[in-house]
Amino acid sequence: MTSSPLSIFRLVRRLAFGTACLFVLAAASLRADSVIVSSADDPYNGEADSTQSGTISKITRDELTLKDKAGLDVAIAANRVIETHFNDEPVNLQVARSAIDAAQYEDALKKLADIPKGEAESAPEYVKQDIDFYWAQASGLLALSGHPEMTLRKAGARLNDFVRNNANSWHYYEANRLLGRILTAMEDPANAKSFYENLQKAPWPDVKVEGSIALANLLLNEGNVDDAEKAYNEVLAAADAPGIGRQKAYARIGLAKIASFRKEKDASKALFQEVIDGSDPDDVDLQAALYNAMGEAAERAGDPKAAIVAFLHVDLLYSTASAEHISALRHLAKLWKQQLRDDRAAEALAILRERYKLNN
Amino acid sequence: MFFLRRFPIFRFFLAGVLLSAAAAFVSAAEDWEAFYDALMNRGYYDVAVTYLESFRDNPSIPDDLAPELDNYLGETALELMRASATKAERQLYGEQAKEYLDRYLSRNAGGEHAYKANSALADLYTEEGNDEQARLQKGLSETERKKIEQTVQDDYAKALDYARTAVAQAKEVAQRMKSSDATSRSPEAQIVYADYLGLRIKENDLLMKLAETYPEGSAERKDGLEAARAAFDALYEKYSKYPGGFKARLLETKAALALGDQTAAAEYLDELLSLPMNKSLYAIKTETILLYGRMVVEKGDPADLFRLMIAFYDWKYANDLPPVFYITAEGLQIHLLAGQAVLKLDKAKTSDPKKYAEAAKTVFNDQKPAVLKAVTKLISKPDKQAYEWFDFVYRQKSPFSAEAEKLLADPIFAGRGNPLSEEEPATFEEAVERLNRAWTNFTQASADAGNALTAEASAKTAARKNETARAVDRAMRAAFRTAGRYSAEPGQLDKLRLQWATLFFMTGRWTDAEVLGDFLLYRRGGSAIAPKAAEISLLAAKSAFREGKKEGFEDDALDELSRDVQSRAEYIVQKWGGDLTGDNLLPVVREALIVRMDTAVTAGDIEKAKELLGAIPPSSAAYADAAIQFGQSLWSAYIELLNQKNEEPDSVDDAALQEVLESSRRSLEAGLEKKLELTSGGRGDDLPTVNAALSLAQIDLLSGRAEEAREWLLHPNVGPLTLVERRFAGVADEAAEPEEAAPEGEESGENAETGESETAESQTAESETADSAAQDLTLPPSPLSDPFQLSALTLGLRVLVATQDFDHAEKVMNCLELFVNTGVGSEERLTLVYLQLGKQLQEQIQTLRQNGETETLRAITRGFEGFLDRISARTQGNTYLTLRWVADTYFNFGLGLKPAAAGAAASAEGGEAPAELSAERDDAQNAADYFKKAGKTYQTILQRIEAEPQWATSPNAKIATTLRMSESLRELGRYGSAVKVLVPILETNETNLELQTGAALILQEWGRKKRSVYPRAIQGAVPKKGGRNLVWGWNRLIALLSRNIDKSPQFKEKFYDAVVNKMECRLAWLAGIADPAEKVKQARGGETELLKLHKLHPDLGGAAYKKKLEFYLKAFREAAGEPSDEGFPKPQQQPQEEESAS
Repeated sequence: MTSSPLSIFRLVRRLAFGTACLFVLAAASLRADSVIVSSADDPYNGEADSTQSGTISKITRDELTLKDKAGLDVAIAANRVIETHFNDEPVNLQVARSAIDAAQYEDALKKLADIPKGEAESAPEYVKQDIDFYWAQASGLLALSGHPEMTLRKAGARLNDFVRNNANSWHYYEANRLLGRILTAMEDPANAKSFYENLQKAPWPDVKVEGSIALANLLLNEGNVDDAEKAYNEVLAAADAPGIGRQKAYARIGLAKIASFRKEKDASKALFQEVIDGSDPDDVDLQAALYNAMGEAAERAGDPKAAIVAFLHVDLLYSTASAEHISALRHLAKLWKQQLRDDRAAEALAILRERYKLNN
Repeated sequence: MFFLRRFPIFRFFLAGVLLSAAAAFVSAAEDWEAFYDALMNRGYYDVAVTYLESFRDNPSIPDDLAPELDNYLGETALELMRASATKAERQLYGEQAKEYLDRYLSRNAGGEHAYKANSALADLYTEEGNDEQARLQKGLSETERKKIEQTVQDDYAKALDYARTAVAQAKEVAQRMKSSDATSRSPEAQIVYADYLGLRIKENDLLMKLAETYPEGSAERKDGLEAARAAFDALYEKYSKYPGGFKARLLETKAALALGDQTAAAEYLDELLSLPMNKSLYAIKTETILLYGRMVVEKGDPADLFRLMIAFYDWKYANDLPPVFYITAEGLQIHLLAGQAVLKLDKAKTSDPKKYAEAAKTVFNDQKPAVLKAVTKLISKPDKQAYEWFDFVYRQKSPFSAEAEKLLADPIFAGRGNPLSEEEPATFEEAVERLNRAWTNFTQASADAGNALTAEASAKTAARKNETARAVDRAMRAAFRTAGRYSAEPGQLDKLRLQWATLFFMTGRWTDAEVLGDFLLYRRGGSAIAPKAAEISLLAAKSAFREGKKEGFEDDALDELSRDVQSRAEYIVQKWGGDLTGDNLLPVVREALIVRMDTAVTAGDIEKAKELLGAIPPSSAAYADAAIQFGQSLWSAYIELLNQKNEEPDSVDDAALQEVLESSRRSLEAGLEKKLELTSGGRGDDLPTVNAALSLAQIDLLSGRAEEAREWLLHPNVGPLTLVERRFAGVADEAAEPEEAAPEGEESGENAETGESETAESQTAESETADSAAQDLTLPPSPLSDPFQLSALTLGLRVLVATQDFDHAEKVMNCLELFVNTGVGSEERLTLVYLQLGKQLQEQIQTLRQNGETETLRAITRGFEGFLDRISARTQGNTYLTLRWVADTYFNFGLGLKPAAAGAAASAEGGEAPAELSAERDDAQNAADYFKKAGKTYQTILQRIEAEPQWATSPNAKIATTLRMSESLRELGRYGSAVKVLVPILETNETNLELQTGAALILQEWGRKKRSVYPRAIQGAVPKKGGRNLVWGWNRLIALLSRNIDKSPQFKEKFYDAVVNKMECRLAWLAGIADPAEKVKQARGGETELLKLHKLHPDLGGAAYKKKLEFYLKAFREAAGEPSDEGFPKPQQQPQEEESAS
């Protein structure tokens, strides 16, 4: 499954926030709203996010309008926004955002639940939207990690409520993306499809194509290999634009999977290799998806050793992509058992248990 | 990088790869190396083989891996073989490794890395030979034995062949590299040279192994061993400065032993034993001690055994050898040998006391007193020590446990019970005996912890204290369990309870101590131990209160703790106090009275404390103690308030602070005078009184009453300095003797024959004689603790200089050095004392400047300057530490007089520029003079270090002195020279944080004079080959420190210091930007950086740093055209628990 390019920024920030979020209780109440925008324009710090302050005067699903201190309106495309901070928003909302960045979804939910009811109800509309979105997002991500109590259905319902009631939130596409993943995990492709189609309606080419990839993945999951192939090829034929190259890599992964289903081992291998050669080794989400796909293809081809090597890439190099990591660990536990290496199977299960609180 | 550590070939290989990567654009590809490294780190060698194999015949194989694939595979398979448990697997992977390595060699016969593959093959056959050799231990038929012996021989012979080939190939590569200027000094060449030496050692080690497979007395054996011995000797001669050379010497020793040449072996071992215990020699030293022990323990000559014990002490106790060495096969055997050695020495002491004494005299004559003291301690309790070491080995459950068990069966250990001493004692008596042993260990450990002066010593002794406390705790429980079964006397159990309460108190378990103390106080109130139990309970309650206050408990909780203290104190006074006028008050009653006052002071209620003191008649004996204690409490309160004021200047009122100090002085003075009156002038063994005299002298000096301070310090009966100096009196005279005995002419510093001045060499020799004489001396025991004595000497030095008594000050300074030389301390302590002294002086100067006390300031600096000039002009007796102190004090004077920097930082701290500019100019000139003097003295030190590296006892001396020299140049405004001084030392110590910070500060200061340097302070300077800067600058320092910020408070402090410095540079830089848009952009960048920092670290390093950073935040906003009084976003109040809004 593809994810937003912003998730890379999120990952980088997650590293920094991992510890800090625990102490964010003392976070500030801002006298002006602020928007953190992805940027690479600071000569002293290299690549860094930038913060723009002022008053958020308007939000749509496509852009935020910020009135700066000079009274000028600054429009910021929603796909560049990493997060917003509103004047006098509840402190627990800030803590929850950081907790989600650090993949501590239960903590995020707890913090959001601790926001006094009165304060949440009297909060401005945009703040309410944020609370509702992070509540739904944390639930969704927790459910996808296989949490025993947060079911996919429950999380899906929360996200569905958000999408239905907040069509003009800047979180709209992210919510659709996540809801699509939830429904796919629930094996409900029909409903998932409608949410991925919403991605295709976004004004940005990379998000549109991301929707196409997600839809193609659905087709593949359904066994509609030919249509999926066609969809992936359409993505490959798309005109180049920022972010499109990454989506094309996802398309190649899809095509490689198809080749492996068709037992075209060489073709599959060649496509995987193309992605390896052409992609950024530091793009954790893409690499994790790639090696998991390679592992599954090797399993299908009856090559458990190659499968282990592929899944170990995710475990050893790309473990910050938590959903993919969980999947890789589950595969590894099974494969190690088959190889009569119970000690290593136990290692994989121990990571699942200790890091993700999952029993298998 | 696991793999780089294990296999140096890949360091070399990767260095090449990195260079080529830097030269050309490398397209995105799989990060095979990171994955491979991760697999090896996790021990998944088999997967690593599978993974590497997947690249065979794969067109996508990464370019840097392709030519080396089989080499990697061979090394990985070898590692797999080593990790395999079964013989079959070892054979399988061994064969696999051979196959890979052979294939690699067949395709890369003349390649750069072929020698590595041959070396790996040599290792492989050596492993196989070792495996076969191990089989010889088992019972075998003669035919089988011969067959295995033949296999071993064959394996070692093959290994030797490969090693020889590897040596020849490595030599060729090394020569090739050496012949070209471009490569001869490159890092790759250094690796090849080191590999070459390693291979030659390996080759001859194999030659020796092979020779030993031949029968005793055979020509092959003799020839092989002699050839190996000669080769090792040649290697040692050639590389005698490198660890590789010492390794060769060690192997030469083994060869000599195998040839039966004990004399030569002993000589070599003597050389090796004298090597320092540093990291690169740990393994060599360990093996040396084992060989030496094996050689001498059996023989039992006392002199050799003494030497062994010195080496053992050095190995186990005097250095920082990682404990993992203790449990290696060599380490365990060393423990057994040491145990046997002390037992043999004990026997020799009674069987041939004369020989024993002569041996001791010969061996210990050239040892430091500290070593003598420590080793004597080990030898003086042979059964205890031997038992401890044998028991240690026994518990490791190694192949040596059986031998340890056999040794523990010696009747000498009969009283010590089963080696597994954690088992239930058989009787109450045995339990008590075990408890007493544990208690002795604990009290010793506790005393050591109290004496620790450095942070490191403190941590070590605290750990030992905790460990022994747990042992007492366990022994105590065992004693009570057995008491239940064997009906111990009730009085005996109460004594144990009292001991247990004492343990709780001494280990900070206040509540436990209170509970047990109260039980004895209230339930055994009539017994003889009740007052002592009451004292423990009372002191524990007091400590709990103090701790609660320190930790910021809520008022209610503090009130409760305070009530606990008061109620006990009142009960005690009521029970045993009478009318308080008697001269025979129980100590606990005095304590109760003091506690009541003390608690009042701690609670900030000084009036109440005075009232309580007033209730005690001044004519009574209790008054003196109470007044002294009251004064001490106030003194502690003053220090606490002063610290608080330093952190938050507005939090404490100056007048109130002065009042506390003055009250303390008055109370101490009244108490001391009364005490002296009651005890006919005072007694030196009355430690509270001597302590009070020290506190009073400190207060007097602080209040500008140096003469009064001098009087208390030198009081004939209770003067702390008098008592300490008395202890040194005989010793100091002895230390001075060698100089006095020097023949006329030499003493004057002139050569009698030539009339020329003495050379530095002869001066050094003489001063070394004096030093070594001093080191031979032992100080008489003293009831005063080491930290107390150091405080007395330090304060004495300050007071005597302040009162211009330079002769006496110099004597005190000599005592300080002697204190260290006689072994009770360490140079680290002395350094600490000098540093502290320098810092105190600097602070005193700054305070006097701020208060406008110019005359006092001049008197102090002039007085001290005279003293420093006098010390630095001495031709003899100046150690590295003395000269460093002199230079540092000049430097600190410079800092103290340096006019405050007018700029951002000063404003941020609320500082103001001095009012009178002319005074400022005078100060600036004086400061420059001091910096010049400091710089010259640092230069003298560096010249001396250059000429005699051993003179500087600290290994860090050169770096630290160079840094200080550069700082002196910086303060003189000679920034370019300051950086230049640092560059050579940075080239070899690039990761030294102090050096990098020093360099960045120089650039920053330079920036104040020349704006264009500011970006260099931030981004670094002095580019190296490859583009990176040798001087890192604040950016890289911040990046590095940010990763370690949670590891220690020091890192945290350094991190925020670096951030503050960077902000100063940014702000100053943008002030000069002409383009308004660019200026706004830069200002916003600064603001964003600070907001991000705040988001990541909301505490911003504490109030002081936050205030500084807030200043910069506002300044950036102002520069961006958006002035605002807002600081960092404030935290919101935590909402109450309410039902979810969602």
